[in-house]
Amino acid sequence: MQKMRDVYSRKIGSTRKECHILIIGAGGAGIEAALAVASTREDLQVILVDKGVLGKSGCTILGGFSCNAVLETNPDDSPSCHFEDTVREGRFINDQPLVDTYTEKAPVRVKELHAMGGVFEVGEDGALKQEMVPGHSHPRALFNNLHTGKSMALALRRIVLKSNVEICDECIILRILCHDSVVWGAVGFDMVQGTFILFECPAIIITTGGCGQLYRHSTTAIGSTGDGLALAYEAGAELQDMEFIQFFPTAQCYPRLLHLNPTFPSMLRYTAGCRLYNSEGKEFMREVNPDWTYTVTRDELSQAIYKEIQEGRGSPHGGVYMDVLHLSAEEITDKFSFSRIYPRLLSMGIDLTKDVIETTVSAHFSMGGIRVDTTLQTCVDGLFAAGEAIAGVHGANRLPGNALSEILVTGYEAAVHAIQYVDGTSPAGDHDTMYDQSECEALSALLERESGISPIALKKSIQDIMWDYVGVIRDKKGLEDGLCKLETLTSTLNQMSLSSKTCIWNKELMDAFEVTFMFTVALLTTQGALVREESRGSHYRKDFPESNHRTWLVNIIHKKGYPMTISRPRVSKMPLEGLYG
Amino acid sequence: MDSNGDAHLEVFRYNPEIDKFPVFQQITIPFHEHNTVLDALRYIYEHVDSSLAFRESCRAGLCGLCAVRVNGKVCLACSTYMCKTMTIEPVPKWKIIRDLVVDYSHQK
Repeated sequence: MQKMRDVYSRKIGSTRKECHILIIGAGGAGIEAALAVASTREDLQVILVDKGVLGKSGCTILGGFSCNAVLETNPDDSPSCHFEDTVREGRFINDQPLVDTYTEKAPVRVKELHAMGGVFEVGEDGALKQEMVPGHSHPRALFNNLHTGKSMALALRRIVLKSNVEICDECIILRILCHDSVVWGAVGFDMVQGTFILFECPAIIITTGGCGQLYRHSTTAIGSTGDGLALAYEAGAELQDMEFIQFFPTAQCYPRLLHLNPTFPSMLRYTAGCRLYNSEGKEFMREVNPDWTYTVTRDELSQAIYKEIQEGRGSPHGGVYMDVLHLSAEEITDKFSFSRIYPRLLSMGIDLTKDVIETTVSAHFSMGGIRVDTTLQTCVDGLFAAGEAIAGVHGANRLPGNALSEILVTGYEAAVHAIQYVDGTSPAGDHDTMYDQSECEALSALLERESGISPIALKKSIQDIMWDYVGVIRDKKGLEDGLCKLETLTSTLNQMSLSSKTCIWNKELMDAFEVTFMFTVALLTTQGALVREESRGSHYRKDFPESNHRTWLVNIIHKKGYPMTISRPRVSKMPLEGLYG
Repeated sequence: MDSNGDAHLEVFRYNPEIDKFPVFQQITIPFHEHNTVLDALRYIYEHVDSSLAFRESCRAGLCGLCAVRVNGKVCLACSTYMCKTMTIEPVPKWKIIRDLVVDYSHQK
């Protein structure tokens, strides 16, 4: 027992690590950023820290199909056209300079990764294959069967393990340390050793991804709890567009199928022209739009499906029905990617030529996040962010395929600008007096509390509130109720207790850390959704079903200690004056 | 979903910091034929004993982090249906950090 107590009584600062750039979150964006530094500047030390395992935790590995970039093999397409599709389908509130950077640099980044790892499928002519996905005007999806994200994540992992980047797995960052709004370090907790680590660094890049786990039903990895968003907010950075959570319209629901990406039914839509219908047999999408399988974006489809479910026309397991009974076995296996999936489904007792599956709506992606400028820097000096953790690229609705390429571009760009920043700062001074022991004290109190609320229960409460009140279809009353329920949970955050007092790989302790982040992000998401009295992209208000450009073609910005503010989106190629009216 | 009887589990428990030897904890939970080994571990974690340590992440058979040994055979917990009698152990040959969590840090 004595040994255990020593572990958690150890003060912050007894284990220190120094580097030039600390990258928090080792998914695609984080690894790309680390490699961008390592490949150009051997003199700079980079630490890549993740609360899970390098390249395996996080959501990059879950990227199912498409990674979009405009390649010269299609002369009809251009980065400008990719830009227009992204801003139009983002419902115009995207940060246009960021979209410019993204669409212009995506081709070089994907080709660079492919050259290093043979990541994407190549046709007989030696050119990278590209497919069409809904919302895009041209075929620009690179892919590798149905595991493109995994292919990318494992290639990045392999490459970074050969570099001089220091990897710090299973260490959760609890606070970013700033002095006068300038970054100088971070406090982490090593789950394996059960000790705090004090990181000292002039620059930090947050690449922790989104917050899909705020919701009861989510396609995201278990660690998508919005940590980086809460860390940035607490450090004084701004968050924006928090009300925009993408719901995946057709996630697998029933029967329970194993070893498959939860998003796989979308392939039945894109490439096999599936039927999608409610309990009355009505093809509710086809009635609105005969070409819906190829053209309708995720926001509209999710809202239509959720409406069917809510109005009692759903399937027995809480979804709607999907089938491809119009196709023969040969036709199904001929369709892209199903040559492997069809037999795998058969082995689990599902024959797509005879059986119907149920699919449902599930939280998938956070369009909102940390507000950054064109250099991917926040308003806190030395604090950068990239990937799903930032706001702006995808606006109010993300197009398929725009995530996997965006993480490469913004990860790389954040690294380039972080290097410039580090080069321009003087070496770190002595910070001994500039931090407190609050995490250490909170941990001691948590471990000593004999009874209280379980972090597991608290996490579930947040997920239930968010799903029921801040979900696919929202209204004022529901959002106010949700906000009220979240606020009543505030007091329980410091009343948590754990059933095991060990600091060695304590899962409940991880939940306790995460629940605090989730709570911060859930509140901001709900507040943003309540303020935005219109519908736009993924944010649908039953009481304000139309978009109102005149008032709400704006970003809602949150900064700790200040009231919410609104600001018109930054514009580059696409003028918005006409929309404001 | 209705339960279809009980599942009887023996789960490997070991905290090298304080335990001299590993032990097998006997746990009975509801059996559901469509549930996975990971669902069973989560059920234990949420309803029986929250001190159980195990890894999970993607829940789609992609990341490999939930690998455990069930009745002697290494499998991904998220991609294996549970059965009525299960002995769940960590994957063999790696140093144990705690319970079902092993140290892969030298796997590079």
